[in-house]
Amino acid sequence: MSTFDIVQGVIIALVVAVAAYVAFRKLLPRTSTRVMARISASLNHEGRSAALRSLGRRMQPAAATGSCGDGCGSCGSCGPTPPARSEAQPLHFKPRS
Amino acid sequence: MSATAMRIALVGNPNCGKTALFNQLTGGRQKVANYAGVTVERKEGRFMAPSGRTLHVLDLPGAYSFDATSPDEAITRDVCHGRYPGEAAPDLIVCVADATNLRLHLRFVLEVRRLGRPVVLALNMMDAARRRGMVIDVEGLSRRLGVPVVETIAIKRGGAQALIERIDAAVPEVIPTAVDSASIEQLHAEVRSILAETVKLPRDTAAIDDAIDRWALHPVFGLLILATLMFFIFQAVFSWAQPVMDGIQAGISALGAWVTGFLPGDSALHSLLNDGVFAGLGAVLVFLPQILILFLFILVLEESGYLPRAAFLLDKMMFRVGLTGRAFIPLLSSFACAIPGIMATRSIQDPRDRLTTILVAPLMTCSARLPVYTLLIAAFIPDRAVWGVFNLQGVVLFALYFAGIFSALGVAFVMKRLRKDKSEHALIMELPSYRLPNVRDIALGLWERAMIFLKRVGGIILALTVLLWFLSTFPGAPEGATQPAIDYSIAGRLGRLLEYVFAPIGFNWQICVALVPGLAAREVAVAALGTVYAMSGSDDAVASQLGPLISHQWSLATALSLLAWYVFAPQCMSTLAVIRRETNSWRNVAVAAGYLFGLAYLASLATYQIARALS
Repeated sequence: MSTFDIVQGVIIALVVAVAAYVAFRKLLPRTSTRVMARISASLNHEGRSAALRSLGRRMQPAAATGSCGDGCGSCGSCGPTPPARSEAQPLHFKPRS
Repeated sequence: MSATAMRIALVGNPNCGKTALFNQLTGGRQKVANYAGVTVERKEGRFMAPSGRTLHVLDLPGAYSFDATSPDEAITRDVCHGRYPGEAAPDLIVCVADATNLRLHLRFVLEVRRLGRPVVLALNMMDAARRRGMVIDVEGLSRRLGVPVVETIAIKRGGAQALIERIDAAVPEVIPTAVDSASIEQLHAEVRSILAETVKLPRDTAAIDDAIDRWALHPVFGLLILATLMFFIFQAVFSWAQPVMDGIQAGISALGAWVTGFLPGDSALHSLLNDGVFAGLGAVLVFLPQILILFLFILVLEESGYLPRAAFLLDKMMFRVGLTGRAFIPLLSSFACAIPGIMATRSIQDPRDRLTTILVAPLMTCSARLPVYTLLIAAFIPDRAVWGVFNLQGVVLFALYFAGIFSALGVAFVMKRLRKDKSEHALIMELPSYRLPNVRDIALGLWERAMIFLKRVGGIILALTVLLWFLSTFPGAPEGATQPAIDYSIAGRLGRLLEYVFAPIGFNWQICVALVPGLAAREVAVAALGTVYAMSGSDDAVASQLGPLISHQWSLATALSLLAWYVFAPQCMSTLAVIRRETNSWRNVAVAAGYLFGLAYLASLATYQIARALS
């Protein structure tokens, strides 16, 4: 295997891994936040090495948000931040008597 | 109250210019338009006053009264009363009122005054009021109301200067009002008394509005004008964009050739860049001009004040099929994207009307469908004139948009028949004054649309394209293989598997593969088709031009079937997620996804079989 093949393999592996991460973050924002928080907490743990703890702190996710820029048309009307949960107005139906 | 972090809430009737003022104060770029109900959630920003103080500004949804009848009005009520979760009551309420329509807006000002909090009244649109010949005694108005009154022109640079200076001065004192428990009648009487004393009004409405509305709201001519306008927009989308699209396509091909020229032609890296990135992203990127032309018209219509008139014209038809006239704005927003459209349903009071609107909103033709539609139309519909005037491709695009509209009306009608509650709700909607669109606002709006599209291309679309390239490449072809390598890959095998399900509607395995990442967002399917065909062994020149390639490989029946699929299929995960959030129900998500996929399959099946029988 030539040096070119090795470098090529590494680059492709990195690009595919980043693409998978971006897709995960964009399409499943809440799940990805939960997973990242769990990984971050396990790394940033008493008894771990300083390097691992630092990595854990860096991996601590900012609140991930799905937005209209992520998965649907090129809108811009949703605003920069999604509404807080309390702003969503769930519909509640009561059975008719 | 903290002297350094004063909280200011902007409140007022819908469409009085709160968000435009918010943008002026904070430098924000929140969406503004000339109709009621643009803002349906609380937005926060901050700015530094000339004195150096940092002020937090809340932009709240418009409300006619604190007797909230819709979810967006309830947000305003709760924030002003200090009952909004996690939000302290504002230190200062800036009540924004449309100076040209004080008879309506002052009633809410009186309600706000009764809260007993410091209030400043911003008389907005003073330029329009002066043009109409209105004379407002600002001092007298301030005396009568017992609150400071400042003049503003929110859409003009520097138009909020007086307000900034007033906010930066001492917080106004609260003068107790004499009518703390006034009835609605008493409030109206007080408004009439204040207006009689402080406002000279030559006529109730603007002469120009009346003149335009005689035609624009005419039951026959009004509908004709609306249809002509829509038709012209779709013609323009095709006719005007082509030269720029050709330029982008040539640029992408040249860039691709240059970048990949440094790599060995048979290497995986060359394939990733050429077949994945350039063939995939290039196929989507060329549609930017068409999207911008469509949005140019949408933004101009939004700013002009014509849209509520269109709602009025279509109300009768919407009413017959079981939609409220209030659904018009959310459905219209869905032409840009279903997500803000579904969120805009918060302005609908009745939960059943709201649910109906939410469930049909994904049928409106969002801009993400445009790349798919135009790709297929350009490839299969001849570019020729109809009746010497119209472009056939534009006519087909127009028909597809109307197919979405009529489907939504049909689904709403079925839902109306199915539901037990037959009560009906009349449309009460404020018709704003017409105004000339602000060139800067339009330019900013277009810039933001372009950035959103480019971010999507560089974000989720690029990510999914790379993943699809990976799945289309590995595992590679075995020794002595005779078929293209993609046939042996994960994506190829998945496509062949899905082909069993989609063969009756005419989809080949390449389309089946493209539909899978296309579930994330509609235009991803175009990028995916570019990648799949490039991986299938098409040469570079053809791969960069997907249209000519598919026009050779697909039948017309397949293309029409795919168009029919995209009219209905909910190929957008974010839309389904928003339905879940807004209705707090997975059942509604299942209903939406189930009926939309069902309709998509049936429509494609009928289209394909009929087209095949006729050809």
